[in-house]
Amino acid sequence: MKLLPIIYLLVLSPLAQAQINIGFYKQEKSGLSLYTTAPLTAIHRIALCADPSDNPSACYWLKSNEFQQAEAVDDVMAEQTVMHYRMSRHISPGIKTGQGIAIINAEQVRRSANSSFIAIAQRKHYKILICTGVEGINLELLDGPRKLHSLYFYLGYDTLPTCENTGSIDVKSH
Amino acid sequence: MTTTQTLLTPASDPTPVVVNMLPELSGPQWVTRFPGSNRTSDLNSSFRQSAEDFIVALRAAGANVRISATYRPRERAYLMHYCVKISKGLIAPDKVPKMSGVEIEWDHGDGRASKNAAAEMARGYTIVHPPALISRHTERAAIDMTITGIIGKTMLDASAQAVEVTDNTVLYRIGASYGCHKLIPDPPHWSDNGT
Repeated sequence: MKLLPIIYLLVLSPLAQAQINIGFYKQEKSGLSLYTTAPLTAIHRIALCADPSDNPSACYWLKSNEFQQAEAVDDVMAEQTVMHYRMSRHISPGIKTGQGIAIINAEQVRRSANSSFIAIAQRKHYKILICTGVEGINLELLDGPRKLHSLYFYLGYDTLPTCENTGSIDVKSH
Repeated sequence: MTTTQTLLTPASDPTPVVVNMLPELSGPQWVTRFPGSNRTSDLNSSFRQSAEDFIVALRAAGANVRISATYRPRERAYLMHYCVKISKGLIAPDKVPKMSGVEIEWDHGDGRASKNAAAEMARGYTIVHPPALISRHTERAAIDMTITGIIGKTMLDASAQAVEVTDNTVLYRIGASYGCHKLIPDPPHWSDNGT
């Protein structure tokens, strides 16, 4: 009887066990960088998608074995370590834009209204919200109302904010 | 090779000579011009004092602070803003307003050439989202910094009170006491008024 759960676990595909996560990609002449909090061993499939406000093209799918660990980066003030993985191959024209969103371990990804994506993983639907602050991109992965992950990508220039909460913190209220 | 030096304003006639410079065509060579700064000395005097005092207090408490940006020249913002607009066809090259100190000619006399040159600039700046023309950075009143290792430590606020930084909201309050106000959706960004 005890063998049954073990056999069941063995037949589960790696993708079926893998947790969904989010990240950012940046493509330069030297190759492609992936930034995420997910460990490389937990990544099986990556969808690289342009920001919906930037480009209507479809997502580009990659496998994790093409990536190698690079230097970790700080997620500013979030006190979490963001991993940096590199791939030396340049995948243009598969991806037209220099940077965008990475959706990790999803089985399907589709665009939704209001600059967001719907990802399907392990038969569940997840929402991925994207908005810009005054100089960076905010990304959130939601399971219903529950926020699973959030990540920020610093652009290094001032942009036109689209995030709803663009105001400063009200110091007096704390 | 020999060079000749000529006085543009002869001593016998002190009327200044006016030299008309032709604007330079747009293109990727503009990208490296008007670079931004990550020095606090490039901030306006009042915010500079606030930012420097806050950073001193953070470091004294054991935080690691890395400054990414302080001043961003308006000229750079202008170049970034309009190269994207032209490359996306949102404005005609000959309709771009002039900016003093930026002798750029956006109009190449050919629509496609103008758009291509602007697109090359946008690629050079690695622009994805539309850049803003004016910000607290162009006004020398904002700083972007990565602060790590402060949660759980105790630091002094501007009135020299020791405060335990239990979470980021406490840090925001301490920053505000120095005159560095936090903008929530942008973790690295602090400014004189929180925008």
